[in-house]
Amino acid sequence: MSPLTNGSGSETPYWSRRTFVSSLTSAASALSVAVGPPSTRRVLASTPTVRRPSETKKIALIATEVRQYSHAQHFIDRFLEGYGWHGEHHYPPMELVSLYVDQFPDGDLSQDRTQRHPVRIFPTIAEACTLGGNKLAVDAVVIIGEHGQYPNNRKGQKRYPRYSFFKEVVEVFEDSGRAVPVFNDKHLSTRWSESAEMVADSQRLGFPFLAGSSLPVTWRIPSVEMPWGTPLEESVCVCYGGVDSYDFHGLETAQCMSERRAGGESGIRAVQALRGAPMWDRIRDNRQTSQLVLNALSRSHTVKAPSGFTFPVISLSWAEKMSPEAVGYFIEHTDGMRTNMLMLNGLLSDFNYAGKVKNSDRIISCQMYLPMPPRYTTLANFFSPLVNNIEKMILSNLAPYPIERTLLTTGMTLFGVESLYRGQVRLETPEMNIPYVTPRTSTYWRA
Amino acid sequence: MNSTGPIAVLVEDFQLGSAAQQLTDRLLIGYPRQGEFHVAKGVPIRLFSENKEPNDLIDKRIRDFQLIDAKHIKDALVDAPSVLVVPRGAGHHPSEKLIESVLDGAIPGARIFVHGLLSRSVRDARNLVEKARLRKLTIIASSYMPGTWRLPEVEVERERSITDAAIIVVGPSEEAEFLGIDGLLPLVDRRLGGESGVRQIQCFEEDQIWDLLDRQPDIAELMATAISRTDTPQGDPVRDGRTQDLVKLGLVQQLAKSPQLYLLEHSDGLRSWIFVLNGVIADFNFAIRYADRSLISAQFFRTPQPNAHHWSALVDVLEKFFETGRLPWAVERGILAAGIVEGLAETRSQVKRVYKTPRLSGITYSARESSLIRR
Repeated sequence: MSPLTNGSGSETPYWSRRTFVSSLTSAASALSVAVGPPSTRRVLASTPTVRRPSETKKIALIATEVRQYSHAQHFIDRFLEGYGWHGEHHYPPMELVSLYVDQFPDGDLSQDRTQRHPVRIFPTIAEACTLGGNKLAVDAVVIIGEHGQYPNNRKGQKRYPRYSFFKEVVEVFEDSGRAVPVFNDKHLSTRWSESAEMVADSQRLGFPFLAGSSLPVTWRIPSVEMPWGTPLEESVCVCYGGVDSYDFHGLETAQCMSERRAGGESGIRAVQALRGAPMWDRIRDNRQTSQLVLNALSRSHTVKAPSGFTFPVISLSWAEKMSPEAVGYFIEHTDGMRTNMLMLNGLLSDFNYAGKVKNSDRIISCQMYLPMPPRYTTLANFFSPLVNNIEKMILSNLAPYPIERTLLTTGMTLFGVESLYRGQVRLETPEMNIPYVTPRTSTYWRA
Repeated sequence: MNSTGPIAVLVEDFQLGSAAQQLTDRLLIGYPRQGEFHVAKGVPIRLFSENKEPNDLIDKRIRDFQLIDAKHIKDALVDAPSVLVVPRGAGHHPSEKLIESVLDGAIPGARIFVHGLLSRSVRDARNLVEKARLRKLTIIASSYMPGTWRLPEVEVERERSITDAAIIVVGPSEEAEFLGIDGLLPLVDRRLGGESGVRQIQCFEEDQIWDLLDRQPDIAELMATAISRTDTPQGDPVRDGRTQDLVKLGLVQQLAKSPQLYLLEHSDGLRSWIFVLNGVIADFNFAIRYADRSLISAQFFRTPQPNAHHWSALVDVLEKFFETGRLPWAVERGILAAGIVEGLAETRSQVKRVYKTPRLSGITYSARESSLIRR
């Protein structure tokens, strides 16, 4: 069925009220047998959906949970319902055919999605990948191990099952004698060894492996890219969020710019995380870093204002006053490059970048913009460019950007957490001596 | 910033989050600009507020930022080469009293920026501009719409023909219509030949809109293109976060609350469409079709409250205007905007009737070379 029709098979223009009512009636009728919690059923049976042709690549999606605004919901709906992209409602030219869902909390939406779309929930990851058969039966696997109830370890890291999900997928690949592209949402795992093993598996079996955050690919305000080969000497990201959570997003924000520097990414020599006064001392002690923090803050749209004002004068003293317990990760690259990621909770709620070019006054800065529901928007459309990059990988059998980026940002996150856990010590990271070169092509959203 | 004299700011009221506060504070305190916090130093800001109730916000600025409280309009205007006039609200109801006072009292050569509309009548707008000219004053008016960020950062290519332009706006009727016009005109006046004037206006409501879209799929496509840029679809996305093809699923007409569509027919044949679609989306988006049928589209990005840095984009424009005296856009745009607002009000009361606008058909002007959008 063409995405340009409403499912009735009629040639009537798709905006016709008559056509709409007709399709709604039939859809509502079909939905009357929907399973799932009654409250969910009532809300979700309201509208039909546009269906796509089935002669396309098939995707399995492995999720921790599917509820409103969980990461899996954003990915699933973009594959099933399409999304606004480059001036049209884009339907991925592929088909999400199977789900594995680990948990079903109140407000679960997975049942609704399977009622309204030709996608099935399977009881195991293996069956989601084989569609109930013996061999791999899909053309790509998307792993969304974010949100859900999982235990924390002694360092406070939530043990999302990304590694175990991935390994179950790899087992299917090995049993089937073939492998297909895999996407892993956010950082790879909460253990370095597991993360490195995931990357090694992808290399051993030769499948494209894409991972990470939406920050590197979302809108930038202004729309700037780090010119490939720039002699960059320091990057700063000012953002917000929690340890073992948004720290990863902040590190991805900085790394997608840092990695484009002259010589490419050289690897990471050491990581140190500081909290509160020591962090602010570190910032104030370095004039260049202080300046970059101010440049990045000047790209924010959410800096907390003093009483009686709607925005503040941007200054370090105001930043410290609003965020006295801020956390900063200080990353030393092996070529001398420095990356600093500051989570300034209480001061702002967006992601901003500034980078200093060597032997120059030039500073490149922007906000990496997240249209964030429900406060500012109704859709988390920063997932759209991420899904679009997944589509590109599936169609081309090539990851649009290197998995080494995510391996290093995973490592920066893990060693940052470790540093805090061990009393904010500096940690040498020889295991992260992983150089890579990113493609010149930009992958962020700008059209 | 102009170093030869103070800036007079004349406001109807000064409340937190108001246009008056957002604009005045940026001139007084500074604002983020191109990755730095830009401060205009050394220029006294004199504020006259029509509302004489005690105001802690003004007192705080007098105390902390050397704002000068002008008790009378003439106290604000004396020796001020730059004047900012800010009415209440979004600027869709201009303060005729303040504007007239400025035209009577501003020093010769003064540069005057009016937030919002010059007038709600083309005749009055013309008279204001003529009066300013006779007194050697320069007066322009606008909202934040022409300068704010666009997602993506697209601009109409100069000297290319446009056949249709559509903007989708939401909000209270008069405010939404004004912001729609103020967003639309800076886009279309960049076309080949520049702005040619508007010869007639027509209003459609409710089912008339869907009937028109049935008959004119090109316009439906334009609307769909603009809607594809939204981050705020209403209905199911609000309830469960799903993405949704509002147009192809027929949801636009189901969600729309008292929808209105205005068709502006320009003298050169361009058709501009202003959709007021409350209940469908909650942000402002546009789409333009070039003569070769290619489309461009974007969201007008109004940044989160309370910072609302789309005001920074406007202050950047007016600061340069005050500093250089160079007009960021033609004065005629403000006259045309006033005339279109007047025309829209007329057509609202006589739905579907074609409303001829001979007084607007001869308003011609060209866009400035450079784009004003925030980059």
